[in-house]
Amino acid sequence: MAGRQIDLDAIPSDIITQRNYNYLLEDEYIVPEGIILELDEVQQFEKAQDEIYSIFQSELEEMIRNGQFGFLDLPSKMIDLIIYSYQKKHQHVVGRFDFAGGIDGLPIKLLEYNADTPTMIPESSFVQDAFFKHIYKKPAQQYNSLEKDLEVFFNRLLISESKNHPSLIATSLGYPEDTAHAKFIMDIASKEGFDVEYADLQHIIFSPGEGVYLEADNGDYVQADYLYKMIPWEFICFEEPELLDILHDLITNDLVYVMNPAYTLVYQSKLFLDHVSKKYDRPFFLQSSRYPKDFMGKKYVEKVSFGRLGENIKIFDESSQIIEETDGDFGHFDKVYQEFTDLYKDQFNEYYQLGLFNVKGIGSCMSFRRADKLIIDDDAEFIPHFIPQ
Amino acid sequence: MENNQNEYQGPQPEEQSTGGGFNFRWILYGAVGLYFLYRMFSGGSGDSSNDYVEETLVEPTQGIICELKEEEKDLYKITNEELIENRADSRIIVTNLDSSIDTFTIDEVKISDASNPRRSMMRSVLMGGMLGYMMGRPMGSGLARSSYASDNSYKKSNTGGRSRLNSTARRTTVRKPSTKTGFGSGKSSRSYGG
Repeated sequence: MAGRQIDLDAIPSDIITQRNYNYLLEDEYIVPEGIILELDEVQQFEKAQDEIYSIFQSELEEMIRNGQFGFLDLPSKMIDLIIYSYQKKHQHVVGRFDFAGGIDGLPIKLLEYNADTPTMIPESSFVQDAFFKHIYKKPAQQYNSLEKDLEVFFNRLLISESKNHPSLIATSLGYPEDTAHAKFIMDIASKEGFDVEYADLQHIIFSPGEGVYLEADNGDYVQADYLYKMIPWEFICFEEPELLDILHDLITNDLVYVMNPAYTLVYQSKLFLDHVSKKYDRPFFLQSSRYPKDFMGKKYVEKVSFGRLGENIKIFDESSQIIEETDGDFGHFDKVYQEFTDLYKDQFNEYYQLGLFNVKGIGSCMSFRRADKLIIDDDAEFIPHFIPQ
Repeated sequence: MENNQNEYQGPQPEEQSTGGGFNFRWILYGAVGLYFLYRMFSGGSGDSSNDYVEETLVEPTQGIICELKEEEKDLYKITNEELIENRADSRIIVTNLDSSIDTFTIDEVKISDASNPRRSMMRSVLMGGMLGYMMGRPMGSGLARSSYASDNSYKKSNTGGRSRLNSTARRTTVRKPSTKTGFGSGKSSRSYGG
């Protein structure tokens, strides 16, 4: 098959503006281009996601049975929360696997799992859908039911957790993109019958032994039984340990239900990915190690256990010379090394990385980020996909 | 591609949002809210770790015989309050317009009964008097002149009566968990998503 990149007539800027996600229109992040996938490629991606999620669950269950959390370097209260939230079956709202390959015969390889605070949700759901329905306009399919699946999620949560009052605070640290993601989830919860409110974390009142509150405009204090956070668990662990203490009290006393739940921090950790990759011999796991010497004579990549947005990554060639690197804020975390794998490269030498979203662990949506370099970071472009019939 | 594996049941009608309102079930009003806010931002008088705040609860131990008079139809005023030894022996003696007399316990007056508006009117008057301290009003708050039939009855309770009730009250210091806020402030300059 020829190059998969296709040009499109426009971008759905009206819909983006109408829904008040104007930040997506900045920095030419959304471009009038797409990528063509074949149906069997999509099915292979979905099969990989299902199997990987199942492996992650099995391995976490085994860690809980055996109390094997030492290698993750987490505070003991965080480990308590991981165990509690998993055993109490707190639901995993949404995560995103990042894959390399999978197109034109390249092997599918898991790069990482953004299990805790995945981004790219608005553009992958309604923007990609708008590309499909209003701009592509050809007989095709798209692997994208993310918005609908999230509606189903909150509808089911309302039923399964009927002892809780359906009141939800969505929160972030205030960066516009994170706030937009929190509000996106909040709006879906509202549609399904939750009373909702957004507040930056600093404005939320945490009361040990009582719950989570906001002060309303009229001076009343209102309590929420659910908290959706666009704030990483590792931030809470290492930057706000006092908040971890309070959340430990509130969650283990069923005074608040936090999403994504604490156990998603395990899935998010590249130390866990390293652990799983060694234990399970599956083609979609990259060779992984805590030591660069294990990659003598091979291209390999250095990452950190809790890195984000392509930061603090180094790619080494066969002579252990750096061929590409990014700096960032997460260099203090543990290093993990992965064998290098090829991203799909189109006819214009641009590299594509697949994001595959799951809701409650079930595949829900695919979309791509693209860059003219090997490390796909915050400068990448968003690329919708289409599956011609 | 239809990859949804769940059967969508649609929104639950009885739980529909009211347009983004935040009508949560637990609402703390008025003075309680202000007190809560004060303790939160003042840090209370808690220990050095700031995990708890201390609060002194003041509770009457003596009882009161409260005399009420119905001056006009459904308009009651306190004519006299006498302290007695036992709180459990407290009574409200009501002289009605027709000169008949009813006697109630505090618990009887406290019961909300939609079919008995008379009791509700008595309750609001009693809350302004010393008996109000036994019905949940903080002992630091003053008496309401409007609850009393005369200046004399008001002064009697507001000076000697209130002072004696306060001097024999039980004081309990309790430790309450402090509330915390302000986490993550100053961290909005970058995304923490992935």
